[in-house]
Amino acid sequence: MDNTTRNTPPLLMGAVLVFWGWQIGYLVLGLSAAIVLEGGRALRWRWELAEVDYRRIWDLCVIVTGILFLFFYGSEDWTRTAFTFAKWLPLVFLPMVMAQWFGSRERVPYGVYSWLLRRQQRQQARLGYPGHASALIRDDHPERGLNFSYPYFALCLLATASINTKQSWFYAGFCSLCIMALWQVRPRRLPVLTWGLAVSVMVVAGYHGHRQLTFLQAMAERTVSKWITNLGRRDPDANESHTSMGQIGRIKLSGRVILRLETDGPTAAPTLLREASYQLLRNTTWRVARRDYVPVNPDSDTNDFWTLIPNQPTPSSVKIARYLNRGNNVLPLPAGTAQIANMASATMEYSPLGVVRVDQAPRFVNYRAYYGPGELLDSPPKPEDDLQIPDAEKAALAQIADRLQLEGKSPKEILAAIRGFFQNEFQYSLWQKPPAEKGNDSLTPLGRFLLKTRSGHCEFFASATVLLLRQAGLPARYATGYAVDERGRGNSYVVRARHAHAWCLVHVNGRWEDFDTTPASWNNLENEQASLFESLTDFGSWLWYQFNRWRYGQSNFRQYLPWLLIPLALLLAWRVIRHKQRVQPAMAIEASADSPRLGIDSEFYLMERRIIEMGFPRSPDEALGVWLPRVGPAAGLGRETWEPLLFLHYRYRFDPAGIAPAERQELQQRVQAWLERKEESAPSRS
Amino acid sequence: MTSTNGNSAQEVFHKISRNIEKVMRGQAASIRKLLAAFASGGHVLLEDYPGTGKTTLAKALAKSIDAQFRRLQFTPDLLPSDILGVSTFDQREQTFRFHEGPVFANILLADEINRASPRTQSALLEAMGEGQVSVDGYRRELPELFFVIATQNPIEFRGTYPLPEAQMDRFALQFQLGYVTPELEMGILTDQEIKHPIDDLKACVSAAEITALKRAVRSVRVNEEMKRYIVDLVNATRTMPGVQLGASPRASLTLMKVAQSLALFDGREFVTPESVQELAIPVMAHRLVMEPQAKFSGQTAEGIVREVVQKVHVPA
Repeated sequence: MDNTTRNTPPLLMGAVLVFWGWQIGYLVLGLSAAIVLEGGRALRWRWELAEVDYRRIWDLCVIVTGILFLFFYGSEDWTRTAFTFAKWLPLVFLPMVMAQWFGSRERVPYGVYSWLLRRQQRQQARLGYPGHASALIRDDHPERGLNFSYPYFALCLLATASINTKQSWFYAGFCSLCIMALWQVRPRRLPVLTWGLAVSVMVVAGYHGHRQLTFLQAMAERTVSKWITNLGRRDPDANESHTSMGQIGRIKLSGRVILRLETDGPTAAPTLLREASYQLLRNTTWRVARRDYVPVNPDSDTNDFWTLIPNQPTPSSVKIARYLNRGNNVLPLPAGTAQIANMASATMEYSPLGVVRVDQAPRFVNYRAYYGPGELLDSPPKPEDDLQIPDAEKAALAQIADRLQLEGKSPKEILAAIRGFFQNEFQYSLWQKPPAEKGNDSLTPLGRFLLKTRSGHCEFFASATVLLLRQAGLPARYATGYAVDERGRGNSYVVRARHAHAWCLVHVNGRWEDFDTTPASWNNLENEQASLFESLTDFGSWLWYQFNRWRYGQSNFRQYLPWLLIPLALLLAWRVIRHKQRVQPAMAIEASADSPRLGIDSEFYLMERRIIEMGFPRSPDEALGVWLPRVGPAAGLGRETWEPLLFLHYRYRFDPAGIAPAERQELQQRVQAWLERKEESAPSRS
Repeated sequence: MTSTNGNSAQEVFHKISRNIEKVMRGQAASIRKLLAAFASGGHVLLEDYPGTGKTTLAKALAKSIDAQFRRLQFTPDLLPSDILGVSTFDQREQTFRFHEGPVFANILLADEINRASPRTQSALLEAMGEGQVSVDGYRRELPELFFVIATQNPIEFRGTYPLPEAQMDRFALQFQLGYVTPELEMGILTDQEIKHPIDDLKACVSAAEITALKRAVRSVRVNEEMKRYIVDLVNATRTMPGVQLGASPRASLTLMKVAQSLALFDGREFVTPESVQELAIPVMAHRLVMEPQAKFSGQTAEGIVREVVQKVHVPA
């Protein structure tokens, strides 16, 4: 009974479950599942489950898989969590295999596994052949359907493989389990030695095959990463910033929400979030003098808390939520950021220019920056970099500096003078007129801004201010980032793409200060660009943000997930079993035969089973009189042997007049003789 | 008990079979099916290309059993009276006299049945179904031994009237003779180098023996499980996708009867699954009406029946 209902050799399922539990580090879980399944073999009763029960269990398994998939897909980088997802699949499908083992059916109808098949069957029934379909081709016939045990076995091996960390134990275990599974179905017509040889070849080939595969993968990864580094990069470049200075026409920036800020309590958010700062201007591009980064180590216990400046008081903090690209990302941070919390990246590093960048971070982050008026990451000014003025701009700058009489003033007076100069004489605009007279105009875009047009966008203001400050002898740097201006609900703020801003850093009183000379009207002007549908897109963006916050947020929840499934499984088990009665398995099979089958105890079946065991299976549609001529020669069974036996068997089975006692005896004796002869000729059989 | 009876019946089968095989080389399987249908009282439709030996087969059967054989070539202008017969006024006797048409024969070869108009076709098919014809209000019985072998060219050919489904159902079996191997074809040439061997064919069984054979076929036993298998097969054709109209209960009945006949041919007094499987396609395929879409996608009725046979578990 056991071998027919379960179809897997004894202890195979238990072994694979223990193996799985051991490898994933939940040995107790694997062991308990194994004990439950293998222990079930000792029971003599089965639950009488109907097709609908199996369907329910299967649907539940699939739904849980779906939830698990969404959950893992959401929680982190999918390529990493795919393995975690696969790891738990045996637990998810455990109810189904339990139903198979403790249920009365040897095979579960195909319709249970496929919604499409179910629908097709329903349609056929509706088309008007309801009870007419033959019991044999109807899906609920006990001989049709899928026994879930072997697929589950494969699933367990797959799940175990997914967490494998290059241990040789895994391959050994994997091979032993496969051999265990194959042993029972080995072709009996071959000597054990041949079979063993074939299996050994398979094991060796598999071992070398997977090593070569690993090698191939490494090669492919190298090639692909080379291609990717050669492709253009999309994220803000911490080494240089191309400005739009000198572009003619209107600058358009989208209203897409890029950052969302949340402050603690009613304290105002920092007005400027810096991403990067630059030192050297060449034509219209700002660059850094040196590209060196200092790696930051995460605090050992949490792995997502990073200290940039140790021992700095940080009275304020702000939560910043944003989407990241793959690879390197530069973080927008308030001035004086000393610590960053809740940043689950692999690495973090900062440059002496105050750029903080992370690598291999989740696609969505919601980090908290602690900042205070203490030290900054920025290196002290270096005269050769932070006072440098491009030759092309020198004339215009000298002219302005003269006019403002910056020479000999104190830094405070210089700042006031420059601020006043830009406030009073310049206009903010996103529109650049083409130069009025062509040809003899030798001015640079910046020079034209300072001397002629006197209107431009923030990059003009910031660049001009930096150079004017340097002209006056104050070290200055060009900074880019975002202006925080739009207040959302409560303590939250939103930053849109069009809030991208540029300003300057000036070194006064031994400290780098933000110095923004862009007229305050710039925000209003930018906001006028808001599209009519902005509120609508904002809403969508907000929903997406909420989803991502949930999806990437609860990192702790994941580890409790397996335990959450247990009550779910219990609930289902209760629902299925509530109204069921225990039945003896023999009864369940008896009930399904719907036409009388005479002569079912014929000895011929012993012979048939023996031939099948020798490795010559008979397909269910193959009549004995077709099968025997086909396999007879290979099985060493001549026509003269089987033909009289088949005739007697058929007479016993299909002749309504029945078989004479003498003929029945002859059938018994002949089959017995044949079986004994077989036994002698093949003593090596286990 | 019936074993002597059965043996002699099998002997009759084999005598005819051997006799026909003298003329029809390499067609043992077809002859087997033809004789099975013949002994079960069903009619046969041969669908094949010209020149494959349909007429020779029919003639050889007729000659083998000492029976009256008529051949009727169907043409578009053939009238029902050309088949059934016609009454003429006898001036001398001042009465109507009925001249029997070709249908009053033991074995009738209806060649190219799909060339005649539907009206003519139905006259023959009615005779086949009822075993009698009605002319001028008189009912005239056909001979007790009445067997029709109809042939038709594949219906893609021009100028044909395909038989309606209801009439296809009246044929017990439909099968093809098909081409023989080149070696056998060479043998056919050798046989007919000087004269046709059919000319030398002698009757080997009497009409009485045939009547006894038909009686023996009816006494072949079928048990419940085999009946169930037959019904399962026939029913399964009704639910197959691509089938507009499945096989009828008449198909079940025919399948059982011809299987009985075939069992006797093989020397058994009861029906086994092999006989049913062997006959499933010839008995059922021509009765299925395929959905046009399935036809266009290349599905054939034979394929459907083959699929059904594979789908239904055979009793073993």
